[in-house]
Amino acid sequence: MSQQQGPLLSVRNLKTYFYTDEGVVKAVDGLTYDLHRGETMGIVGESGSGKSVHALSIMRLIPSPPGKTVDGQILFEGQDLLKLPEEQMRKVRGNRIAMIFQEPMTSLNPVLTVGEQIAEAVMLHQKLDKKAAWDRAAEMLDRVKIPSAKDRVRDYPHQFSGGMRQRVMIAMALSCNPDILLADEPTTALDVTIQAQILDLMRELQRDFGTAIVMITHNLGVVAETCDKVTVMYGGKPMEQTDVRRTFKDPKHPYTWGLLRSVPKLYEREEKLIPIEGQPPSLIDLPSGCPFSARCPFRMDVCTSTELPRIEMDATHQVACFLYTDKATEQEKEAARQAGFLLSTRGM
Amino acid sequence: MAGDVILSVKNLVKHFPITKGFILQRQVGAVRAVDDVSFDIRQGETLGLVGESGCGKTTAGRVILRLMEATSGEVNFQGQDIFKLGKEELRRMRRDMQIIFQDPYSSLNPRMTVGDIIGEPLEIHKLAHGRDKVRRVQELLEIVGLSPYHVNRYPHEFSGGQRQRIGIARALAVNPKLIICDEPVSALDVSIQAQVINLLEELQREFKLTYLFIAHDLSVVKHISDRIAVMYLGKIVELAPADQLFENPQHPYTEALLSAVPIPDPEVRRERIILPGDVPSPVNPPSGCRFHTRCNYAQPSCKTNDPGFARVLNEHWLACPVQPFKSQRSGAAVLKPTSTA
Repeated sequence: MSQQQGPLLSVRNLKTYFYTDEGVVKAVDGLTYDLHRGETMGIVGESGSGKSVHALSIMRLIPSPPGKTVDGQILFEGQDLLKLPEEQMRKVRGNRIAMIFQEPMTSLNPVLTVGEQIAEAVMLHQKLDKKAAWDRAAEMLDRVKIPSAKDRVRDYPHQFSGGMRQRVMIAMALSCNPDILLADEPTTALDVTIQAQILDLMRELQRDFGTAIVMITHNLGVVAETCDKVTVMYGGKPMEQTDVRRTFKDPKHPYTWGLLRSVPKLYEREEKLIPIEGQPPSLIDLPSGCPFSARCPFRMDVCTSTELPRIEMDATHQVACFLYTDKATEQEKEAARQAGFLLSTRGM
Repeated sequence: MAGDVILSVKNLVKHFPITKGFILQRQVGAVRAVDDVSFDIRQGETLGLVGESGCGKTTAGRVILRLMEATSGEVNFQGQDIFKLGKEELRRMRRDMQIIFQDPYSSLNPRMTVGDIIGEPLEIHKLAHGRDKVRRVQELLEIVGLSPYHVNRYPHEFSGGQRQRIGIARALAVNPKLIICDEPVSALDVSIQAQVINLLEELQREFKLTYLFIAHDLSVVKHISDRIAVMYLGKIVELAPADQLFENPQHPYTEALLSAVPIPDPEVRRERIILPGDVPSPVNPPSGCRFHTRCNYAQPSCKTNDPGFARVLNEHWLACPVQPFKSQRSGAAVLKPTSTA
């Protein structure tokens, strides 16, 4: 990971809201992170936490109306993508920043062969002629290990299995050799043995092409295996951001604790799971303060009344929680320390 | 913990015919969804049934309940062969055997109130009417952790986890003995998933329920099951107590399946067994052992010989005659996390 220059992608205080009849949905509300070349950033959260909307915001694919990115910056090599004219954005989208979607079944065009779909992007962005673009399509299918790629470029998406379709998606996304790959739940629809194949493939391609990856997932196992840094999101806000080791070994946010605890462990005997009580919040007219406060065992009065702070534990560890401010009493801090300690000694 | 056998499945087969022609339909083949599956479930235990999409686990669950008719085989529930029951007897039998579905969005009628949904089985089985019914529904709502005031609400007013609780309350309404849980938590977020798993475990203890727990998430199945059966292409390849299956998997497919599960611990590095290719089509499954096309240990004999299904240890059944039983498979050692200091 070379970090001599600034970050490749820098998301600053991103806010994307949807204006619906029932009220304003603050899908992403103040997200900040840096992504360097060759790095993998994991964005973890449950449904409705804003992970996918953040990716669509980067690609500027938020349907408007009702959606709108109302504040913040998305700096790609120092240039704010939100201020780019659409014409120039088109040169970035799919070319320098590519995206793969969760549903390999619905995100390919069923009436075009996979070769046509890959070649289309290559012809548009790389200005190759038709022949060269088709060769490139076959080469990419070969790279993602689709057997007899030369013949299969002429096949339609329905002729591929789920795992193979996800390979086609990856081939398409990487065909223009992008700097950043936004992977939105790339393995969620797949079986575990196929998931293992795809994650392996993504790691290999990242090594060869040096692509930076934003890995959006709800699967903590996938995060632990693929990511360098992690952003844990809840209710549109980043709760905790640090490197992957500390996310699992020394987490500070009560939501991260709850998340890690509620997953059943493969190689440990446990009598009872410890779930997070309550239901996820409705994103319409969220109360001010912490979106997790309603379900948090360490809730204090200040949590619902004051704007959520972003505490720097150190340069590479940020936590959005009042427990680490002078708003919490020593007793409250001690109780939280105990809980965090219990978790870290519990192991996985 | 586990007592007498409550459900016994013998040589269960379900083929879906593939037909050709419009008026004179002739059968040209069959999807062999479930192909000769046998197992027992004991009173009070949870048997996990795992496998990847298309392996036949859901079909097996539905055929056992007779929501679909089996092609052949035998299912004994409390000593009765349920494939021989008439309509009326079958209805009575269903009081003791219920199902919870995967998708909490499509398995509840959107035009019925929660009270009607949970009360319907009470009406059908003539267990309660009018006031009594309402009281029983409210009681059930409380048992599954919802509020009795929710009786008059509609399913769309609830979140996914709450809807799954409604589905559980509906299954519990008739005081069943066995519940087939068909991927009951796959559609839920992890924090909600843990709530529903805990609820299922509490209910099992309180009402002495027996579960057939069908799922593809291995860590969930491991957590909730006493014994686990692994399915591949319509057949059970291995059946063992949960801990034993995870600590000492014998079938090459089980081994690969376990090694593929990503572990939420960045300090654990495991050797992963990547299976080549995709699962073959169940229309035309491979001859001999169905796994031989992807198996790292395959021998020439695997192509032709049926692997059978034999007991290799007290409670451990295996469909692989090629691999001699190993007290500790080499694979299993690397599967275990090594560095949790």
